[in-house]
Amino acid sequence: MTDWTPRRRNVLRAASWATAGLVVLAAIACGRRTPASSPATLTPATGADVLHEVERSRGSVVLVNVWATWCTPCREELPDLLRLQREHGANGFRLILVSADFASQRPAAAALLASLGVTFPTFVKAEGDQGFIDGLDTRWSGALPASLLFDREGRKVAFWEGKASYEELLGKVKPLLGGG
Amino acid sequence: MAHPTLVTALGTVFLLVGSQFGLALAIGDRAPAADVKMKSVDGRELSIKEIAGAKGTLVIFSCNHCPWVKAWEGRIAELGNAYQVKGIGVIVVNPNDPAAYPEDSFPAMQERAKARGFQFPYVVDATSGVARAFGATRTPEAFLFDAAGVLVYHGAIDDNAEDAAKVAKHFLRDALQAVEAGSKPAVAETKAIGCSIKFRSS
Repeated sequence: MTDWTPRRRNVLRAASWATAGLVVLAAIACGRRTPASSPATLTPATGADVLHEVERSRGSVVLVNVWATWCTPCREELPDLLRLQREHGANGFRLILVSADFASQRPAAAALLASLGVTFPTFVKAEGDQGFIDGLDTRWSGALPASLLFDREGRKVAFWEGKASYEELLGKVKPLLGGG
Repeated sequence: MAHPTLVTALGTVFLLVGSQFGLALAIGDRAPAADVKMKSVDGRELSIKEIAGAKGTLVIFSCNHCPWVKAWEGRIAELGNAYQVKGIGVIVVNPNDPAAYPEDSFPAMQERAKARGFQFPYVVDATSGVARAFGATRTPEAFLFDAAGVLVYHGAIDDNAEDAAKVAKHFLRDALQAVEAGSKPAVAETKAIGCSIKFRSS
């Protein structure tokens, strides 16, 4: 189970360009409006920008997950994170995805999110590693994936590196959602 | 029902214990597991103690499959080759479980070392125990010890994995220069994004 064989990369690249093309066409067709069913956007963000977004989400339980297309455990974890969003979004859970991909990989990141049916806004790292890592959490070594969990008051209650299973994620998030 | 604050506190403690925090070597520490023999791509069994240089020792946890390693590998080869003839012992250690990443197998490591022209040992951490002892979490991750065997630099190769031409801070090169000259690196600890080490389960 290697990361990317050249063939897979080519397929992904082709898919990325196709997706990018669709995004452009959709943008032209809809002006500046973003319909709810449009593919996920990847907004460039610093660590501080991401924390600002967490602050804006006060009232929700927020899980920030830093991932990358090149990271196998990240790709394995994404479906479980999205399941959590699907099943608990209505209870006040919000997933903030932040891609740490190289600039050259951004089309691939957008294509991967599109293939997983992501339609909500997401972010992509737009500053040097050191500032981004320490800006999010000084305990983070830089290993991917990395996750930060915030309660409804916007307090950071947990940080971890590495992939978590759906059951582990739910075990962390559910007590914060409250109300059974 | 348990108090929510207690639940949160316990959850946080559990998460902290379950990760790598607090286990990484600190600046000033000596290399752990320095006697552990590791098989190099040329067939030799080498320990960190055996490859230690008169002026210092560089240990880099790395692998074959990781895209961040691939991005930095040319620079790792350049620095390793340049400093291992200047009295710095250099060893690149692959702690990954090849069952998870076949690209990290021993034959693939031999090919990579040849293709990249490594003139220093590229070895297998067969139990991932050396990486665990160092508290390493990702690849690539560098640990540089001075002539006295004390950790003086820990972290990234430089500040731009994607584009060598746009590197503004050559962290490891500067640290190597300092150690070779017998002084302390100006920057002792840096961070960069990398691949999580896939530790063997045993």
